[in-house]
Amino acid sequence: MKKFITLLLAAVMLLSMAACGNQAAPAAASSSPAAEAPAAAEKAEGTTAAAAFEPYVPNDEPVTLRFTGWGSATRHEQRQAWIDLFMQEYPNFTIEYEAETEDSMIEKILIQTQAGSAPDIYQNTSYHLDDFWEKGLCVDLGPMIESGALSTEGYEDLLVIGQATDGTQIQWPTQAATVSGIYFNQSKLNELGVELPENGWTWSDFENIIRAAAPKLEPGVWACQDEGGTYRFFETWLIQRGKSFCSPTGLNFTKEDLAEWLTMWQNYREEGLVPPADVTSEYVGKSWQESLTMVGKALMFIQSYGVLITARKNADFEVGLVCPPWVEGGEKATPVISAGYCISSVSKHTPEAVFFLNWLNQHEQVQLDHFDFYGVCTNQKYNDKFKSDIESGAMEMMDGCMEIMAVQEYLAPYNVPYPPNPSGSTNAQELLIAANEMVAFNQMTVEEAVDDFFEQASHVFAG
Amino acid sequence: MKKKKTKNRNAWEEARAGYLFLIPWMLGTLVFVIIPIIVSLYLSFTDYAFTNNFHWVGLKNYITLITQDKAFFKSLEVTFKYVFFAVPGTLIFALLLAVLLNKGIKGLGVFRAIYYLPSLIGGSVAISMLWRQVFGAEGIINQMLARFGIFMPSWIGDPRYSLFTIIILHIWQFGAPMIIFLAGLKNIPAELYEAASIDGAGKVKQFFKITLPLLSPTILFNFIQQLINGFKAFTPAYIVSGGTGGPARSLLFYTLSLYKNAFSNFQMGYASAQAWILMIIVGFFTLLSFALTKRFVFYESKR
Repeated sequence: MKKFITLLLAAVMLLSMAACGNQAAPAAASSSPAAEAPAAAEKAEGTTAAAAFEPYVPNDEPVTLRFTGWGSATRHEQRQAWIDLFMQEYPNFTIEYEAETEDSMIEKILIQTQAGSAPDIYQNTSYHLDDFWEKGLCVDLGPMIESGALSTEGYEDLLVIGQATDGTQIQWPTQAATVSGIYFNQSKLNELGVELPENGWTWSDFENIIRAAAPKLEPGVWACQDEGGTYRFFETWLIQRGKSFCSPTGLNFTKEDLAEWLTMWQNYREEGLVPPADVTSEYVGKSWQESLTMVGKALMFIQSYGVLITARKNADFEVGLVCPPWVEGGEKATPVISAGYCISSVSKHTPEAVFFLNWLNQHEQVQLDHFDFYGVCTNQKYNDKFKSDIESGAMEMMDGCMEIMAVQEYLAPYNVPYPPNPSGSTNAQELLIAANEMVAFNQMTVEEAVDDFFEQASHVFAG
Repeated sequence: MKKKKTKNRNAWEEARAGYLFLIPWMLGTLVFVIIPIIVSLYLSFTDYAFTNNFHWVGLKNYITLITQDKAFFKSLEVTFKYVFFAVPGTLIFALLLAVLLNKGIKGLGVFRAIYYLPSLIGGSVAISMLWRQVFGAEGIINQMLARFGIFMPSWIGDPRYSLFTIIILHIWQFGAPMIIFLAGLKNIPAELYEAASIDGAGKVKQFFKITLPLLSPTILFNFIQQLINGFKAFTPAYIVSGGTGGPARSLLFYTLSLYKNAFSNFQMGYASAQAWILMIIVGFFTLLSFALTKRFVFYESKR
């Protein structure tokens, strides 16, 4: 018996080793779901297979799709309502919605795709475009656009291009076209008698405002959050200097850029304009709703301009919104970003999934929900319609909508596609937090933190 | 001869039934433990990154980790500090409470249950989040200290104290080793204490001359358990640091660094190599513990 068990264990071990070492074998030779994933990825990357895309023609055949996205409870409820609406129109469809959080969803999609069980449609961000394409997690939507199955009606080129990498349409923009904005505690600045920031302000104006506010604030409240570790702000600042956080192969800025950025925030900390390091680090990883500004301990922070309506609903003070400050003498450019939906490379219902995605893109109620939530929707056709309805009084304006539209209109001439985010860029973004903390806690000098950042980043991008 | 054959057959049938019952467990262990372990060993020699287009890279991952990856050494430093303070701290605290609870006090069951409770929920996400609140800048601890005129920064937001708060969280989960200590203490014959008492030995002497030697196998067991758990600690660091390992990498635990390499940076082969280094470290310290404690652990059966 002992011999039998020993032999069994040895056989299983050998089998598992053999299975692992078989990556050179054609994926199609195996019928396991894990082997199907790369096969599907090959299909996604292959232009010939994709070019033969045939749109779904509505019929009575039952179809079951799985759809997943992240966000607040409100957003999950909205998506479920759209699904219900869609299923009323197309009763042969059954769409199962899976509510997720952003962090856990990315991991899940990776693993589920390997197992061949990823949802047909899933949400993604611009940060993971390259990662998702390289790993064969999604299909190229280009042929679907060419075939007309995915209509571009009402969609601006800039927004659609922003969801592509190297000419491949990885995802379709949803929710809202968004750029970064500076949120500020308008009530407090008014109370202090400090000039309010206005669209078109510069970094000098920013410094003047926080320097004017800081001495008038009570202890434990700061003029601005410490954004030295905030990738979004650093990226905006870099773009205005004609650079960006990443190029398609790695970092796209110099050590001098980072040193200047970190020094600037170190100076703000030393002047008491932004919170000390221990206060800031306690808020790392928290949502913007729980940020220092939203809890009344700071007066300004950076976030997507589309959350003003939610911010106004949550805050017990008047929340103002303005575009990020311009770098004096720099390039006036601001990157447009949007979350998007991908079609899984392991989906067995790609035409049906595209059909549903197109319905989402073109349905008035879906776009109206986005507009009500973000003050802007992805489909410009509906943006124009809703604005016109508001002007004519046919539609009620949400509190904050006017400011969002003002920022949107002001920044429109300066919008540029979002810079590339190669594999590893999200990890490099976290390195910025660490670099800022190292300086803030006096664990490293600015020069040491910069060297450390570049060393760690080279390792990240080498992977 | 015939009787012997029948006896053998009965024994085999009994054993076969046993093995049949064991099959589900064996299959589970094979599929969910042994095969993944072997696969991870294989992957550690590849550049696997969640795609099937991966290559054999030999020892590259191990060499990069040891020669180039500063975060790897930082995570080792943080984890060793944590193990060095958290493991003895937990054992001492658990033993002291077990000795107190072994005094035959009333309501022992209630006390035991209450003290065991943190062990059931201690490593959970909810408790880690609660820890953030307790040790935050305006948490209960700072509010209490402020009443005495002591003003401290955020315990979890300052790299000087953040690891300390996680060590406290580990020590707070002393319930499981305490229960094991309590069971060990119950097995020490009362007459040994009576005899020592008659001979004039005080409580402290009794503790060091009777309790500790007779409890040494239990201490070793608890020590190994705590050591392994210490090296594997993940959830508290992940939650308290918001998944970043901050502030200033002070909570960059080994497992958190591994997780980030695997699931943030998608370097699964690299992370597998990291996992195997952890396995070697844990194995080394476990063997070392056995070797060092041979002289100090007293087994009654070997007397």
